[in-house]
Amino acid sequence: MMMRRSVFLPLLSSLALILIWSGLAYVLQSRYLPSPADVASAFLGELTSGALLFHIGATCLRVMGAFCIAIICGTAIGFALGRSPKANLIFDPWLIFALNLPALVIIVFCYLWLGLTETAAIIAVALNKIPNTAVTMREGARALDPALDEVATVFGYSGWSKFNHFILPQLEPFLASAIRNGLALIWKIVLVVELIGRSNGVGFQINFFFAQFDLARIIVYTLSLMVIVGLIEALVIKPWENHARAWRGDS
Amino acid sequence: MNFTFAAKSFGPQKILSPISLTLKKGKITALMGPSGSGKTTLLRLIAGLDHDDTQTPKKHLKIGMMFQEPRLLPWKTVLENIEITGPERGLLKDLDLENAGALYPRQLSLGMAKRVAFARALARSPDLLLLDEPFTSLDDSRAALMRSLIIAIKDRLNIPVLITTHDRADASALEADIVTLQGRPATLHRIDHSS
Repeated sequence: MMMRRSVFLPLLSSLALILIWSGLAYVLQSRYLPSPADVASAFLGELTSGALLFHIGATCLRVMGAFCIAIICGTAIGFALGRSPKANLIFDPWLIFALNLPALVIIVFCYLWLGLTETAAIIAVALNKIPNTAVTMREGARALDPALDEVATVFGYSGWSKFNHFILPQLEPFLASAIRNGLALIWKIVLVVELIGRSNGVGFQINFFFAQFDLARIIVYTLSLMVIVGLIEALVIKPWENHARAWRGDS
Repeated sequence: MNFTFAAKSFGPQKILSPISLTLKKGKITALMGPSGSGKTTLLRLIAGLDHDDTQTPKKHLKIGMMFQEPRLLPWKTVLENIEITGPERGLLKDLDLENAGALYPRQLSLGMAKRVAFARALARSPDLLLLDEPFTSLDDSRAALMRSLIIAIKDRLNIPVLITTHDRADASALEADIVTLQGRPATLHRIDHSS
């Protein structure tokens, strides 16, 4: 009964949203609010032409590249700062500065320094996410249990084996949080990067259709990307998180 | 196996005087003394988890240690916790844990968790076994089981075993050599026979 309700209510709510959208589009009859039917038609057009898959593919590759760089670098920096109070004292102002730097400024600087290139685009996105990841992982490193550290020492664990068996499992909840927030932030920044300095991708297409006042296609590209990000969350991140937390008995 | 340490202080407070302790192969030594006398501190010095005031380098030994608290890895099952130090080799059965291999530490009582920690210390096939208050939180029958296992292990492996306890009856049951920590800063005294 609970299961059926948990599926039924969100479905009903989504249906209600589409109905309200349809009603408003019908009443206003404006090109600035396309109806769900207009969007569906635009979707089919973009899908059959191959444009949708091409541009979404380009965006996804950028998201993946920036995401990997941001998670690896952010984790390394955060872990180092969390484990070394001295390093944290020295570099904390840098981190605060980086956290407060507007995304747009980082993007502009990367394009100016590295040119309007793919490398610049991916680095700009990664640089925007690294400080957030570092802050989350710094908290994770601070929360490591010193008692388990002693267990590792007395049983002769060091280096990678210590990290793998004793440290990584303690960091996993923080890593999961960094990954989830990272994905949510990165794909939005990638759109801005594409809008400013790339000739393909969802951001580029949104800019292109914005110039033509084609809101239906803007919605098509936005919703398609949101669906893909949602699928990654549901099919990859959530199952991994559940697996990592199985020992707590609360998943 | 001889351990010699300079004094050990925490801040301005000197806890231990310079100490020399000899542990014999195939013998159990019970380190006794009231709470706060420095038993655990001495055990940590021997385990290399702490340094004395002159930073005496630690001996490179394969140590099997059971801490006062079980300190199991909560994300690993009982069997996995044991196997982080070495093969299980029937330890679950020996310690009356044969049905607990797939359980996580949160599903264990404190007594069970302590037995798992003991199994983990043994699985390493250590050169030296250090047991910090091993019998607390165990009921009488489980404490007796663990005592008989400690005796069997030191005979089988022919290794020195050092346990901390404040209960003379435990030391007697183990037929252990007794050393005590007395005073502040504590000095080590050897008592000739456990009886």
